[in-house]
Amino acid sequence: MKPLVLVVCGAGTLTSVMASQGIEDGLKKRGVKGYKIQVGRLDDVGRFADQITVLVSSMNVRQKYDFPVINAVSFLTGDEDGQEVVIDKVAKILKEVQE
Amino acid sequence: MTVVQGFFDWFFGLGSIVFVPIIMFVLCMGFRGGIAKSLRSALYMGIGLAGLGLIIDYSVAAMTPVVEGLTNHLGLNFSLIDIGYGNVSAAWSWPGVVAVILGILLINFVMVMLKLTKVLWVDMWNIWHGEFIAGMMWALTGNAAVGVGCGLVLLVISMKLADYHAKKMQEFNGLEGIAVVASSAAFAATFAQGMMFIINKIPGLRDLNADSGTIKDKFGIFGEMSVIGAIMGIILGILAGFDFTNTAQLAIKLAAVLVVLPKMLSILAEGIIPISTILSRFMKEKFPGRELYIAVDPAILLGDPSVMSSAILMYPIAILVAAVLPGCNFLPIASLASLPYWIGGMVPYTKGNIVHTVICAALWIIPAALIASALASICTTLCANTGLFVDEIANGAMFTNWEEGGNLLLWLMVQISHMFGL
Repeated sequence: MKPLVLVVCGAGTLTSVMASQGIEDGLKKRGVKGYKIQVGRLDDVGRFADQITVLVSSMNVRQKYDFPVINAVSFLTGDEDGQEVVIDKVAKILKEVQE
Repeated sequence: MTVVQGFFDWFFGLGSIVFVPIIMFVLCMGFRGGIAKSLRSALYMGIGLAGLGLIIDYSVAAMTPVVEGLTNHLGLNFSLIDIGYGNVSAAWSWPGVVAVILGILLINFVMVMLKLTKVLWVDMWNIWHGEFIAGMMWALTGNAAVGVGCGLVLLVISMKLADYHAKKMQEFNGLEGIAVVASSAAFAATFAQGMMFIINKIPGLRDLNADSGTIKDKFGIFGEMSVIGAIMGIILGILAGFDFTNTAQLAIKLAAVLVVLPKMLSILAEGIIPISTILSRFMKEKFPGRELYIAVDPAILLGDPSVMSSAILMYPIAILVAAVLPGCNFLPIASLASLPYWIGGMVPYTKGNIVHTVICAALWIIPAALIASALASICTTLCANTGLFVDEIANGAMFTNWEEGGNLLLWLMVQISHMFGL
């Protein structure tokens, strides 16, 4: 099964889509392939818990999970350096899993 | 003049799923988005509106017999149909849509330049709040300029409130450099701040709290839209005197509406996001080195566990309040989706205290429900004028919603226009 990047926000409507678009573009530029990226609500985390490789959230997630959680507010504020850091982190995790 | 008028009549006659994408394409090109991005943006706006149209039609078809059943079976007057965030479709489809977008961006630019605000309005999506108010005032007065003016007043007030609440929201959510311009959060935060002033003066009440973790663990499933929809469907089916088949069908239908509607909004948002991103870069370049708050969607306020815990408690309370409140003529099923956003605006002031948050939210929905009922005829006219539910409206159906159909400022504006005889 392909590793899953789940990108969530409170509503799964807007901010998660913003972040997922940016991350997908960034991963493409880095030549990362063979993963699945999905957008959802914070509520969806439970349903996907056993599939998630890395959780990216546009909000601050207070709950603790078994998988890494990355904050992606930089995709909302347009902080491009911050976005690169997020994409690097996701890319690193995906590469580790794929090896 | 007649040629110009003729052109506009033809253009808006194309229908919102055509003219809104055209407007977005031009706008995106204007911000130097490039053809590929602009085209994709435009198409997704059209697809989103088409999809939203499908699901709100479906929702109305499911709710119409319920409304009739409640009236005939129990003699209740819930004659209005709640369309929830379906009104976003009307908001983006009224003829003055560009004027409000450019208006607020220009006003924001000038205000940032004059250091009257720190909020950089790059949140394209939440301009819809102003668009809806504008559309309502247009539907009421028939004058698009009045609509644009009123829409801009709401957006500027939201912007100033966002500025005022920014620090508090940043601290509570642990996010730096952001502000929330959506009136849903900005107005609710203002209300919560006032309420907390009172609550903190009442001994006993000020110390009451409930554990948000326990609520989420125990009742977490009741916070999911699918479950809420199914339960509401069963309850309403029974109350409306439906047989088993129809009750079961209603349960799935309402669950489907609550789950699918946000997905449609998401598609619509996908069309707007590229413009937001371009705009964000464009504006930041103009103000290098300034400490500015970037306007972001209120969805980022929903991260604290107290928000969803309070929302879970509020869903049944909201329906009960609507059911017993004299002057409230609809059951806010689709509108329940607004609750998390309002609560997200409140919790920075209630400090995540569930009891205080629920008190604030329960009081907040009373004016929203009354105003939404009172202004339903205007909302229905707006729907008709933007090509929504044409057949149902011809058969006498009426529509409303909490946000922004129940906005206090909108109500004031309507009263003022009545005074001027508009």
